[in-house]
Amino acid sequence: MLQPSRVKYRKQHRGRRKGVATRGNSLAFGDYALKTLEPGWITQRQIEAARITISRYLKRSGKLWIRIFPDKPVSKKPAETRMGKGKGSPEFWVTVVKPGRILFELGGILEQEAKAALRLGASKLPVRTKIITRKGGIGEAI
Amino acid sequence: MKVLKIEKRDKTGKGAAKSLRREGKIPVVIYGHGEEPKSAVVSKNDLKTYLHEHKEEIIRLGPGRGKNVIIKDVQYDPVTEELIHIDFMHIHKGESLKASIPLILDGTAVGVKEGGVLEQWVREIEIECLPKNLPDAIRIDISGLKTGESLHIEDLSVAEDVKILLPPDEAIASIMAPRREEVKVAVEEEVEEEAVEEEAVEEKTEEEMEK
Repeated sequence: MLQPSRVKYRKQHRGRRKGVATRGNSLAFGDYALKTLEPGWITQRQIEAARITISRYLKRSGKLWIRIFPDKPVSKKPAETRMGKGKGSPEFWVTVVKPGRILFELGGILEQEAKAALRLGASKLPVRTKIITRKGGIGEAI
Repeated sequence: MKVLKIEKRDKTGKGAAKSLRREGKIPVVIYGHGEEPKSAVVSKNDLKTYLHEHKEEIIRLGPGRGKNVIIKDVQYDPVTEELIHIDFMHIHKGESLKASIPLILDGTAVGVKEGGVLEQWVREIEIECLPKNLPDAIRIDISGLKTGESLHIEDLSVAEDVKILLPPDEAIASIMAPRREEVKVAVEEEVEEEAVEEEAVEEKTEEEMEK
């Protein structure tokens, strides 16, 4: 599973998820992509589950790019612990996503196959998504 | 050449631009040739019909007889992917200009037929030329490309008057061999060790509390 190899600070605040994605919001490598329509936290397990689903469907054809990385630690208190006594210990890692963020990209395969694979991968994620394809230019955008 | 009508825009900023978009208009900016940038607005429907009729890179922007411009930048909404803003740049007859032209790969490579994956690293080529020589796109035939081979900028053939501004050894496309499924091993880190230590401390304090 994806996670940082070393971090400067072990615990983070939760933060806010206002606004839309200002970076990582356009196709960079492949021809098809999965884009989130909602803000949310995507855990390392969910990313891995989606990756496995997509790559199994592709059967080694095409190429997959993961455009997100879980670099935010989430802490949790142990079960049956009284409140207080400080923040819990880091349990897992998440990626903070905002609407418009590209999550996965696919290239080198047919559109039909790419869409089917991304649709399966999307079912493993906690956010509403849509599949986008590379546009021919400004004429197609309007 | 038909003229795409634009209107002058006095109000700038987020609120004014939003209200224009609600009316079916797109805020634009026109600059270049050392002139002050001018804010303007174009009707979405007019732009749509104009772009369907004209496939050339050069657009004639009016009122009146109009001036020749090229589209320098386009902004899209990250969620809805609707057009939200366009940058137009003035062009002058004898003055060379820099522009990004789409690179189109023609044909199916031999390597792809054998099961390889085509990876296109460069999708737009930055060129410098006179407005009259501005191509709509640069095309290259990739049908002879085998697995493991790459195409570079130096392989592109363009007109003599067109100068490519990218380094000649930059790869534009490669045929990669199909990869095996990678098994990623999560790197256990120092953080985990520290977490164990902290848990031990917490347990100790709980025991003390019970006492």
